[in-house]
Amino acid sequence: MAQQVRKVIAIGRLQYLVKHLMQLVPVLLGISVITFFLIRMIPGDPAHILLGPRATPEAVQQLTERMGLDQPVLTQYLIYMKNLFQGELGHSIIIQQPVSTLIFERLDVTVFLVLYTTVLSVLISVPVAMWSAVKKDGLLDNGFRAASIVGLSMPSFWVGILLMLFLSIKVKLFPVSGYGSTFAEHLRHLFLPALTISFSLAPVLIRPLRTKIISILASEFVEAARARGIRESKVLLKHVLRNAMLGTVTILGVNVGWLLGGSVVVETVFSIPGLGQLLINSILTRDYPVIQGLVLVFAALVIIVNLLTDILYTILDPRVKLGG
Amino acid sequence: MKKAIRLAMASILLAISTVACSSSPADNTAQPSQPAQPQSGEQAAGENTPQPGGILRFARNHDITSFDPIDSTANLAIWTLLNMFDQLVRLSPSGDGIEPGIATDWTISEDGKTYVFNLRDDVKFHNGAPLTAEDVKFSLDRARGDESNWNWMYPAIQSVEVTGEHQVTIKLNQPYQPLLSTLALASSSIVPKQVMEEKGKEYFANNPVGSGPFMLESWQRGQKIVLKKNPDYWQKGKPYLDGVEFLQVPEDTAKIFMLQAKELDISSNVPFSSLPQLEADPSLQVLVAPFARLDMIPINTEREPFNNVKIRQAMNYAINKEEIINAVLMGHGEVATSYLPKVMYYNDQLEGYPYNPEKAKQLMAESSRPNGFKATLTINAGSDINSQTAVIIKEQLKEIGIELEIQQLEPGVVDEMHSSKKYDLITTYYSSDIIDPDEITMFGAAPSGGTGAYYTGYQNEELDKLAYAAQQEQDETKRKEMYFELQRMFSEDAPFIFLYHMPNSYVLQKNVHGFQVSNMGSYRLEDVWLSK
Repeated sequence: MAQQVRKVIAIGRLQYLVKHLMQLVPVLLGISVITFFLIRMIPGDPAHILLGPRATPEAVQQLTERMGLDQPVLTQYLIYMKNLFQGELGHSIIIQQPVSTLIFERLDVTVFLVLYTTVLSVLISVPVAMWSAVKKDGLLDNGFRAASIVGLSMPSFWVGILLMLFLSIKVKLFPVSGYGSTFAEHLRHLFLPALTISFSLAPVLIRPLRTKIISILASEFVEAARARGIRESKVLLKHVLRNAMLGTVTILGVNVGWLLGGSVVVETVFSIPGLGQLLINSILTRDYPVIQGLVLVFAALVIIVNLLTDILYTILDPRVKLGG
Repeated sequence: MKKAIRLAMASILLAISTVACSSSPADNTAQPSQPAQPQSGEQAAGENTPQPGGILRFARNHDITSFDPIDSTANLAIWTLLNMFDQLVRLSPSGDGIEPGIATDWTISEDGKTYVFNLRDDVKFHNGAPLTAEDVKFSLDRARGDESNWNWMYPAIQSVEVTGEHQVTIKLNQPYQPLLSTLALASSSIVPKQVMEEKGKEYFANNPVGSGPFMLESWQRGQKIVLKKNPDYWQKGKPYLDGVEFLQVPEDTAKIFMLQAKELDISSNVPFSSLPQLEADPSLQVLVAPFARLDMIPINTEREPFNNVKIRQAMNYAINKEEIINAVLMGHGEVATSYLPKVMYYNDQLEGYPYNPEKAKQLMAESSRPNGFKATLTINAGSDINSQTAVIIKEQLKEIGIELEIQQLEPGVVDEMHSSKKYDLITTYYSSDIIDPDEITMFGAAPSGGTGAYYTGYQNEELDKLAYAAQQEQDETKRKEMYFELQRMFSEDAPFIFLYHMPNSYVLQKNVHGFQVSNMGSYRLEDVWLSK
């Protein structure tokens, strides 16, 4: 019987997943249209930028033709869409490489950074929120609240520079750049970058988590648990935390786009060879196909993570059903 | 035919006639004779023997776009390729003369139209194939051919012929004095004919095969270029390094922190304002190297009222360049008076436009707009030097009734607006790749040259004629006079606001030795070594 119920739930999840993955198509299509035309509206011509100030008009013209940018924008768009439907993101016009290769080579770095940041933020947020809720309006609670505001309002490049100054230069604990080549090295190299983003992400997580914990602490089932003589630490971990985490998962899911945006800045500050750095370089050189490809990948990542969040939700809380 | 003594003669002459050696008081960290060895008196004599081994981590602002020598005109590409390829002749380490490269010696005919080069017979490409006279002909024909972005630098060459197993003869249409300088350019690099013909240009641009001290190991676009030692390099014993990593680090703070954390051995383009702080670090050394570069503000002479020479002169007098150098470049730089950077035949007698607000006001009063006018100054967003300079200029031009609006745009867009003449005033610069004044004269000053006097629309037939005559003049004294006159004429007509000559700044770990930057900005990394 239980077996069957589980099976039904699993099918439900699968259907949900397929259905929402289908919805990806029109969303990504819309994004591709907007990006395509938007980046061509900013002034600056890739052939000119690539050839530099010494270029003769003929050389610029030749290169423009070689890049295929002499054709009408609409024709260019149709070529782009045709490639896209064949699963190709096109070729970089500056670097003679397929866009998919360029992105794929750097994807792991950015994904690693985003996951690392998430883990770090949760590790910071949960104990702080718990403490603040339990010792509500205490000295530390107020202290954390003030620190949250500071963390939220400091720009991440500034936080990054400060962290580098103190933890890499004054105390030589962490490297200031790069990614390393082994897993342990990744952890070490990306610690400061991840911490930098966590500085602004953690406050976003702490506040709702604290509120949630406070309300759960006052609820009847917690009182019941306590009345049954369960130890306070067990009450907090098993009854309070599990329920409070649900909201955090949602907030994390919602913030993935923002997290990716933050990684663009932080990758530049810490010279990390990820997608963010590629994006900045491509914008500066007006490498249209790479910008288009990256925006699509970023968009797809955000949508997929949101989808996974919904599914994770049902696992954390069996009462939640994925709506039709 | 004059004999091969010409070789020695040529380098001496060039060395004498170059004025670039004088360094300003601010440049006291670097003397051209031994730039990369700032006063670190602690070095024991035994430590001056080069030690082999080690990888040099070298941070620069950008990546390059191609390893094909005829492609990129960007400085960073040129400076990279010069460490991977050989040319017939090459720039001396300090950049004030020409010395043998692949050619051991050469003769120049009496009429100056035939150059015969004898080649080394022991040079091998990175793929093991010998470098032949045929490769030289192929490479030079390619450099001056249609697909080359550098072909305008080889206007006088009629033919390149293989005239012996190890001999090449270059025939010219007319005497062309810049030839030797031009043959030292990165675009004159010798590439293997066979590889280029079999694999094609696009392959070569990513998988270069040269004969220079270093060869490409890997290239991660936008991140780093990894070079490894060429074990068969024809200069025995060099390079000392096992390899070089060119890292792309555009952020100033990142560079500085990486230097302090010893994650870098050399960083280029360190902001002048950070140099004192880094110099105080006992493990770092600072190198401010003179550079044949001119920073200027081209004036669009096709627009009203800039077609009026008095207004252009007034703007030049109204701006206090000393103040800009002191406030923005922290004293590192020299006031510019000429269109020429400090290369051969630089006119050091030229008075230019010393700061003189009274004279500026007087010129304005006599001009077509005595009551002043409004104009736009277009600058690079993101360049602190540009924006600080612009603010000072805005203030100073206000004094003579010119209201400037500062327009900040991305570098690429600024270049585009410049070359399409969509500007009033614009901040930019150029630098010379050769020691001969011809490149910059043709590129930046001669109205019929490549850029129409650097996209100002400047016209001057007399100057144009003189520029072409100077290319051909074989008498060195006369030639020098011609260039002095060219600079005087251009300065008087003032199609630019002449600003300053800005040096290159480098910060190195103390254990980096033998790093020397030429006046053209290039560096020979085969001479660099690391002490333990």
